[in-house]
Amino acid sequence: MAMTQHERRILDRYEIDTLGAPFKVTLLDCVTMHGVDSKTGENKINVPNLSGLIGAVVRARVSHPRKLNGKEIKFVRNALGLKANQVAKFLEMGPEHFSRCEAGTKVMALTSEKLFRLFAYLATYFADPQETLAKIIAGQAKLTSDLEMKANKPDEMARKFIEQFLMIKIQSVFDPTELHFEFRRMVPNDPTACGHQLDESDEWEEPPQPIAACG
Amino acid sequence: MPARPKRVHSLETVWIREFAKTYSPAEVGLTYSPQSLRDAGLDLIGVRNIFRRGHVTFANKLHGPGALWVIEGDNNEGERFCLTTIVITEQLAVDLQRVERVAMEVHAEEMNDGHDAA
Repeated sequence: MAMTQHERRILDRYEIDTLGAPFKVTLLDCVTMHGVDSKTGENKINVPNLSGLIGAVVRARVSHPRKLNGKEIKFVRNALGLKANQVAKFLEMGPEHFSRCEAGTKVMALTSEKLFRLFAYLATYFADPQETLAKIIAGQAKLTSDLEMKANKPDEMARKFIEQFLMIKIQSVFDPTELHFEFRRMVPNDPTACGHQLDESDEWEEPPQPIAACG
Repeated sequence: MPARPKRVHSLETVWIREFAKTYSPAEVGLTYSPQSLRDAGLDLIGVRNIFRRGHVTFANKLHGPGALWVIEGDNNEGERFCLTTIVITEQLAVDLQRVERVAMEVHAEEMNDGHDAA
């Protein structure tokens, strides 16, 4: 049934194909259908906390052991708003080589990929990853203070970070199944309260374990 | 003749940049038409990068709640877009109304400059 301009409803599942991710991302119980735009006749949706969502998607992907392909490297870089030559410099590789890795004509070495993943994971907590990376390259970064500013639970973040990256074994075998991540908003203290205020722990839940899409 | 520089609204530009950087607890966030993004060849990562690095080039208070802002910027892949939005700052709500790709004119002089600089 067609929606009117002012009708709103929360969707149980919404596959967010406009995120720009080269894998499937589904949002559960949080995307609001805003009805039809009166001018264009198109459906409009609302996504809460886009910045937090992008960070959660990046963390989920770089924590997954499957080797990053070129499109995924580019996605992670763009999601963090980084320039290709800046990342290449950080990874101590030529800009041409990094460009070929993103284009998929070269494979990124495992050690470089691990370093890229480590930085990407942490960078989701930086206010401005591009500025922080520039400071790192120039040897002027104060990472501890930057992290404290962004992470709600720095201890938990540090624990997850250490667990994931000390244990991770990047799979080098190509797997044709599409990756699929699901996210939902953490439940507020009283979700039924009208105009409820979410506390500072409010963020996107990372999936307990990534699942592969069927087919 | 070089294009006349567009007026940049500093306060609005700061606000939209912070909106793009901040982990917002608000349930409002960004409202948009998925089809208009697809049609323009822009994704949400690009939208966020335009908010984060772009400039508000037009701002006008609406009669109802919010204001109409036009934000112009780069999607981090060298493509420029012009986003027309309705922003309600008190609610941290941004409603994307229109997405337009900005055609880039590269003059011969600029090309030579870039070549020399490299």
